[in-house]
This record gives sequence, structure tokens and C-alpha cells, in this order.
Amino acid sequence: MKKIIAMFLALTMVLCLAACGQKEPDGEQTNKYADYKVAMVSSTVGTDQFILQAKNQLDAMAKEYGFNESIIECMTTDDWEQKTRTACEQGYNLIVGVGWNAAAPFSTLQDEFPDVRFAVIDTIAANEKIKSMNFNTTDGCYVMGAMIATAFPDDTVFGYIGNFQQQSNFEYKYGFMEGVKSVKPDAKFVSAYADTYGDTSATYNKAVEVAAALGANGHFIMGSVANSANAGIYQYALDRIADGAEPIYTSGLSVDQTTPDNPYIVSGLTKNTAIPMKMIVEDFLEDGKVTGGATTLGVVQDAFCVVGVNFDANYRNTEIITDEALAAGRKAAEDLKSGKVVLPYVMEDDYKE
Amino acid sequence: MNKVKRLLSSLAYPLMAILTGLIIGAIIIMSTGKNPVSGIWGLLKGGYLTGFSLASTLTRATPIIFCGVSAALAWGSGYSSMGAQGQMIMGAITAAIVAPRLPGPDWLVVILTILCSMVAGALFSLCSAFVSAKFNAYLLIITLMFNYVANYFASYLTNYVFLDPYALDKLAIQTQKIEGSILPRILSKYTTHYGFVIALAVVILVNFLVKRTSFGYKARMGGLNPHFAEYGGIKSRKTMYMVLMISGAIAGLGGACEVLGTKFRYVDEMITSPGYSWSGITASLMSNYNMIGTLFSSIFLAGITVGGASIELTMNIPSEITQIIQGVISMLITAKIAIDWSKLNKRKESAE
Repeated sequence: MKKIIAMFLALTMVLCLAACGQKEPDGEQTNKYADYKVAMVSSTVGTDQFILQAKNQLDAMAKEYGFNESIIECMTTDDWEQKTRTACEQGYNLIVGVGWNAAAPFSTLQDEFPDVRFAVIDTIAANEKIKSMNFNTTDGCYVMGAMIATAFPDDTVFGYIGNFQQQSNFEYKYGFMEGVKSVKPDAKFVSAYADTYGDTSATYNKAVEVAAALGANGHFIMGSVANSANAGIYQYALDRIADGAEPIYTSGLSVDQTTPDNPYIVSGLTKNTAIPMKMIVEDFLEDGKVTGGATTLGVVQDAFCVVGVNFDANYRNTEIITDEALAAGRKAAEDLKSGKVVLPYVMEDDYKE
Repeated sequence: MNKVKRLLSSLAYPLMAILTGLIIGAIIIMSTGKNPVSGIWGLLKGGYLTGFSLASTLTRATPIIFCGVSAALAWGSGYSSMGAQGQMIMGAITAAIVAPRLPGPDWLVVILTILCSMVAGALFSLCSAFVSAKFNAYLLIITLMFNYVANYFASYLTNYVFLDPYALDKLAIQTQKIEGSILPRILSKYTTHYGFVIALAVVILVNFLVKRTSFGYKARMGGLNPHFAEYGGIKSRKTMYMVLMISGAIAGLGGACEVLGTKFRYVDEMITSPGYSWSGITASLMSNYNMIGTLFSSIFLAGITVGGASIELTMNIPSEITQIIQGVISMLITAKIAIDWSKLNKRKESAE
């Protein structure tokens, strides 16, 4: 009984300190967007550039237009529906989900909350009332393939490491292969899947296997596991040099991972989530609604970018990414923009290398 | 009067743990510059005190109740099984595979799917019990390891065998959506589905099984002191298999309810990521393996998570605060169990 009394006393002390808490300042509603509430739902933001770009864009627009914004971070798969439902209940007008986890719960919630506007980035929601902004990864990979094939003029075999063998990864691989073949029609490819999104050691082991299969005929492995797990490939590239072996070069994912500390990362692929976020919010601010349906963004909109081609790399290994290689990449991008090159959508089972 | 006193005394420690958790939560809220009273009030209001929040809490509590009852049955019988997570995964993936493929009326498909999931959970639990008994290995370790097996197995099936062929987004690691053959909502306005009613029925049934049947007595005896049980004519190994199979079937049923009532498909990591089983084990520990207590503890734990999401939006307080509160509660409850266990061991040693 004494313990309980002690606990209640402690609680009372905490409550007495309540006055120390700050009162939220009352916001003045000075513009027509002041009543709008916009939420972004994503995985934990942290330092993930993929999410940060969208968040920073939303922050900037909230400041510019004066609407209310909230960032809802989901730590578990369950949070995506639970937290978004809470946001709907609390009167949010526009909810933007970043990542594939948003598609299914948002599709359900759109029917339950018809007055709330939903949009998703980097996925396509089954519910057509939702504005879906997806990325065309194939085109970007095509550009990188053309650049890499030019960067390695003597190579005949090129490597690829993905996370899982599924259609979404094939779209990367397919673009890369077509890009390489646009320069070297007889090129061969060695592929492997690390079966992970986060296990660096699994990726390292796959890099060892692919490098062995490339032999003396190839020196490039496209890293398409995840921006963190790709580290296994990067480390292997460094270890090979320490072991006195022929160098292997690779590419990064999601953010520009080129660095003078590891000159073997020569390019990369990035998704610029700021662009779809801007398009969604602008659409919403026009009349408080969003246009449903799917839109695909790619190299043409500078939304799916190749490091070095769409923007300057943090570090450029000029021995590999020569001016000629860069020019080949830029030409491939121009060909896609002008419609000179069109890559049809192909299912993995139907594709012949 | 004695009964009331006993009840109060058994509630004292869990209540103190909860209170300590809330106080620490309040201190952390205050350190973020927010009003701790408003924060805690918002947490409780957002978790329990409106129709929407209560319904959300009961929805989230449903899988936790199944895990909690599963753990309480095993642990209360002296078998330290941590396998509820794996068994729940097996139940969930089974439901996601079976439901869209079974022919027949929706109600029959739902019943058959639930039965299949229970069998999957029970068999998976039996496997870990068999390995533990056969190789004289710690059940706790074996069941923990089997959780990984179940998760990777389900992940493999979802990625490579049963990936949703109709998904517009090929990145989504999920099975085909189940249409029609689902557990409906109790009230169409709120998310709470009939899985919660099934959970309540399970609580009552298992409580009866444990307290009012000879099987319950044998289970407790077999688990607490196998030699004494054998001497008394109880086949302790058979009893262990039975207890763990029932425990696995309950967790498997929980997995089926989560798929049929909430997600309508299996999404990779859908059971491991929200930590249902850990919350369930915490709930069973908080209530000292009492089934009714586990029910209320599960609802409490679910409520502070739901409330956490609410204050994150309304007050901009990080929802991690709820994990800290849960962590403090778990830590204090486990500490008490560890101390009790150590005292019991010392007493045993001195008696010898």
C-alpha cells in the first residue's frame, strides 16, 4: 500500500510540473490555405534521402503557402493504416504516402473517407481515386547502361545484383541491359540476387560470385539491392584492391553515393521524390482536390536520375566516367526525351537476353 | 473480503509498473517542451475515450490477445515458449493462401480457413516441441529460432510463390487480396471485426480449460514439476505436446483473424513488424498468466500505441513515447519475475 501511495505522490509531483510545459502558439490564419491540413506518411524519415526529399519539399511548400503540415512516421507495417486512419479522423484534407506500403491501406481508406484526398509516391494504388505518382526506372537504367558500356570499351560482360528476383527488379535490369546493348549489341550479362534489402554480408558474397563470373571480360557490377545493403558491393570493390586483384566498379542507389573514399562507385540511380510531392500539392492547392489515376515520372522529368548525367556527381572518377561516357549517357537521355528511343514494358518471362 | 484483498494485492505490482511507465512517459513529454498532463491525457483519450479510438484499440488488441493467451497457456503451464510469433505467421500465411483458393460460400471458406490456420499453428508448435524434447534443448531457444524459420518461410512464399499477380505495384511484397471471404466488422463505421469476438471466446474457453478441467491441472503439474507429475501418473511429455499444440493453434487462429479481419492478405513482415507477440507476452506476464488479466492488459497495451499515434498528430509528440512506456512496463514486470524466480531457486536450494 505504501508503494502505491509513493507512486501516486510521484505522479502528483509530475503533474505539478505541468506548468513547465509550453503552450502552443496560436497560429494566425492569414491566407486561403491556412485551413488546409496536409500529412505525409512514410517510414521513419531519419537520413533517408528518398523520404527527406519529399519531406523537405512539403516543408518548403507549407511555409510558402501557409497550410498546416504533419509528418507521420511509420515504424511498423501496421502503422500505415492505423496512423493514416487517425489522420483521416482528425480532419486532414490531403494525405500523401511515400513508399509501396501506402498503396493498399490508402485504397481501403479512400472509400471510407471520400472527402479526404489521397496520393501515393513510388507506387500505384489500386483505387483510381488516388493520385499515384510512380517512377519509370527502366528509362534511367537505360541511360546508365549506355554510359557504362561506353565507359568500359573493352568489356563484353556486365554484372547486376538485385535484391529479389521479381518484376520490379527486372525493370532495372532490363533498362540497364538495353542501355548497354545500345552501345554493345553482343554484350553478355551476369545476374545475381542477394535475397535481402539489408544484409550487407549477403550482398558482399554475391559480389564475389558475380565478379568471379565476369572474370577478365567485365569490370562493372550494377548495385541494385538497396542503398544501404549495396555497401557489401562497395566494400568488396575496396577489398579487391587491397588483395591486389583487378578493380571492380559499381553504382549506387537512391542517393548519390559517389565519394573519393571509394572511387569504385562510379555512378548511381536516384529517385527525386520532391518532384512528385510538388506536383501533388500544387494539384491539391488549385481547388482542394487531386486528380486520381497513375502518372509515371522518369528521366524526362528529372525525377528518376542518373548520377553524373542528370546532375553532377559528388565525386567523378574521371578515369572511368570520361567525357565521352558522360556524353553517351546524356545522348541516351535525350533520345528518351525526344521519343527516338522507346522501351516497351516487358515481363521478365518474355524477355530474351 | 479476502478475495478482494487478494485481487488488489495481485493487481498492485502491474498497476505500479503501468504508473511508473506513464510517469516516465510524462517526464519525456515534458522534456520535449510539451505539457505532460495534456500529453498523457491525449494518449489516454486517443487510445480509449472516443468511439473511434476505442474501436481502433480493440482492432489492434485482437492479435495481441491471441498471442497473450497463447503465451499465458504455455508459460502458465511451465513451458517457456516464445513461439507465438512464428505460429501466428504460419496461421496468417496459411489463411492468405487458402482463403482465395477455397471454393464454396464465404462463411464456409472463412471457417475452413480458420481451421487450416489453427492446424498450421499447432503443427508448427509441435515441431518446435518435438525438437526440444528429442534433443533435450531449451524450449525457449528452440521456439525463438523457429520464429525466424516461420518468418523467412512466409517471406519466401510471399516473394516467390504467392506474390499478388494483380498488384499494380510490383514492389509490394504481398499476396492476393481476399475478396468476400472475410471476417466482417462488428459495426460498419468502426474497424473492430468479429476476430475480436473470437478472441473473447478463446479467452473464456482457455480460462475454463486451465482452471476447470483435469487437463488444465495436468498441464500445470507437468510443466512445473515433470518428475512429480510422472510419479502421479501424468504423462508429462504427452501433456507438453498437447499444451504447446493448443497454444500454437491459438496463435495460428490469431494470424488467420489478422488476415481475414484487417489486412485481407499476407503482407511481408505484417506479424513481426508490429511486435504483436512481444506485446502479447508482456500482457500475459503483466497479468501473471491469468487469461482475463491478459485480455485487459492486451487492450491496455494496444490503447497506448493507438493513443501514441493520436498525440503524434495532435500534439506533435513522437509516437516512440508509447514504446518507452511499454518498455518500462515490460522491464519492471520481467524484473519482478526474475527476482521471484531467483528467490524460488534459493528457497529450493536451502530446502535441499
